[in-house]
Amino acid sequence: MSEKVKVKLFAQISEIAGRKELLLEGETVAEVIDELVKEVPELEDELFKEEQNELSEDIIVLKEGRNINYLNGLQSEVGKGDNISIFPVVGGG
Amino acid sequence: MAKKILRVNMEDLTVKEEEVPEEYENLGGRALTSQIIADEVPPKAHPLGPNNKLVFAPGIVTGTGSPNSGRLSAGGKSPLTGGIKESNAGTPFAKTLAKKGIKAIIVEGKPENKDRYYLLKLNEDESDLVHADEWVGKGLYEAYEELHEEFGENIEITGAGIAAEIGASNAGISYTDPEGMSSRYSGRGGLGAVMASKGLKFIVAEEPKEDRIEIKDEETFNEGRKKLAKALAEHDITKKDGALNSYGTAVLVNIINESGGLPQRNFSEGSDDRSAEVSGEKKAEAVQERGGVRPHKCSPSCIIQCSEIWTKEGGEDPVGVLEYESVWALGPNCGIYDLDTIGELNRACNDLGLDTIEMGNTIAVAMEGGLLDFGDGVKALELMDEIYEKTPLGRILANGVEFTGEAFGVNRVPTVKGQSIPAYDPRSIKGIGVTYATTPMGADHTAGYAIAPEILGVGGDADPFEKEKGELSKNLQRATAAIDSAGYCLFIAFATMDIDEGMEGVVDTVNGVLGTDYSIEDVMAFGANVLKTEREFNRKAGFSKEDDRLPEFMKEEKLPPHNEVFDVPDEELDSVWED
Ligand code: SF4
Repeated sequence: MSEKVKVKLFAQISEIAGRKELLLEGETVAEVIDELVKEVPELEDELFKEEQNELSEDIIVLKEGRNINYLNGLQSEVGKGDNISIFPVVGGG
Repeated sequence: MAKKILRVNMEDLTVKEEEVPEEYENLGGRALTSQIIADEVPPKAHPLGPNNKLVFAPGIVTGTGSPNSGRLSAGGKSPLTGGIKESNAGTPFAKTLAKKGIKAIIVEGKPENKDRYYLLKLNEDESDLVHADEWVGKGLYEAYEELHEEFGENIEITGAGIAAEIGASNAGISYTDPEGMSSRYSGRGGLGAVMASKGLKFIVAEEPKEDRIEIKDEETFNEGRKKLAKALAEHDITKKDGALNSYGTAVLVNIINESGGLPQRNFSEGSDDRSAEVSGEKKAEAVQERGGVRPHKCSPSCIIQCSEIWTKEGGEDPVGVLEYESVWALGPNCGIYDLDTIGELNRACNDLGLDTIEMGNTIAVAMEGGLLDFGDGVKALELMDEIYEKTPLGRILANGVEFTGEAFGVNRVPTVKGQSIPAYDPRSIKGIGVTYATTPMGADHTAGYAIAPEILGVGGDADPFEKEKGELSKNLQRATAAIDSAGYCLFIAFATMDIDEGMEGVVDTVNGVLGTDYSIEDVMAFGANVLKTEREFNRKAGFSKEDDRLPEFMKEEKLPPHNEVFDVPDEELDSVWED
């Protein structure tokens, strides 16, 4: 059964969405992001490349503080209470 | 007109103009300060003694109007690390020196009367040293206002503050920002104390009427300038309304916190939800509400504009920029999650002439040692008063993290080669740890910014937990040494690492100014050479590869939430120095 996960949005992504946090359902990161786009359609263009189902290179997605590129990508499993954090490309120093 | 070197002798109070020796002709910025220190300072010299020297050098392209070229290097033997130091800042003072045709200023010797202070005035055609005793014990914000009243608005200032007067190892060198405030710093490594030890309180430079910038090959230079400007305008991080321009460097607070690498309460945890209260996003909102300024540039020619002017509520009492590193050091690392408190602590640092990273870490170590509680911003501000009053406690704190750790019996002391670790915990982001451990500067994130590929996905991708980071850090350190010598702001690298044309632009502009024919490979070799010179100085000063290590506790204590230790093998660290 899928459980609620906390999705946190940052910088321009959160400005576009007009919110900072959502509770969504899904068993994988992909499912959660699908839910996110249903809830906030404005984010679709930001998150995905033109051809669907591939995340834009200008987005960083962390699951529990780990970039999903170093886990199982969009297929990374999520569990109850997990945090997913979504960032645009940022820099500083 | 040929460029010159100004040699300022503080023993006999003379200023001489010298021709630039041939071997220095193609050097600038960090390459030049480090080479002069290596050539002229005995490695065992006491940092505050008569044989240490302080060198200022604008970068190769500084003053030309190429984008983001307003940088200045200060160099010397560091009282904080005991090794060679180059500390880089963005300030209009840099272009003023370059336009005067000054390739470097070398300050040497010490006046006989150690209580006398001087001001070096760089006029249109001559320079002189005048008394500056009336500014001793005064905060730098007020001093800079008075200097502007006395010498006119058309000047830029470099200064050593109250912390420098007490020979504090954490005293930085302050420079004016475009508003004339004391908010730009060669902060790290205690070079302010070196300046004050020589009896030099300020340098005041008048904007010259005649511009002495030399560009040997205008065509190559202009092509390069355009390529670089284009890359900066395109990249998501550096473009207008991009991350740096919209939120400033503190945009990193959230991503580093979410990644479990934002040190909390003296490096005891890697994230805390309250960090969001002091994020770049929050700060940008507050600046707008208060009527501060954002975006803003630290020096002319910058097109990224990551800076800002932070103020009190109601837009009163400007501080200048609150950088990511400062916000972290004086904030989450001390358990403080309130931008106003952080702003006032930052103001005190700017006013006293202290490096914010070292000061924040010092307060955190003092908190760990029981002098005050984590999170107690009121008491933290009172500690700054101890430094204003030059009390024994103030003197301990102004000497930095290691000194304070010893004074209060703390063993979680986050330093490498005596300099404290900045705002990325190397247990959960290991490549930056390789840079902290191996750079000749002591712990310094800017020396080889592995965060770009490890967290930000810029300049390639590298898993932050992966241990094989020697090669990555080596290449970044070489490229950085070259950029610091060229006089470009390091933030151009976000664009030039991803956009080849941008990198070509950097090389073309350097070739244009010098009339050289360097390739990108030559530039990397140039950077490697700078590092070699610095490391050799450190070796003679007594450092060995055993000093290229992180503090013991980072190998022993796991850092929540990822519960990682720093487990990069020593051989991997040493590989940075293999060809
Ligand atoms: S990007 Fe920021 S630090 Fe770099 S030159 Fe511009 S304002 Fe200064």
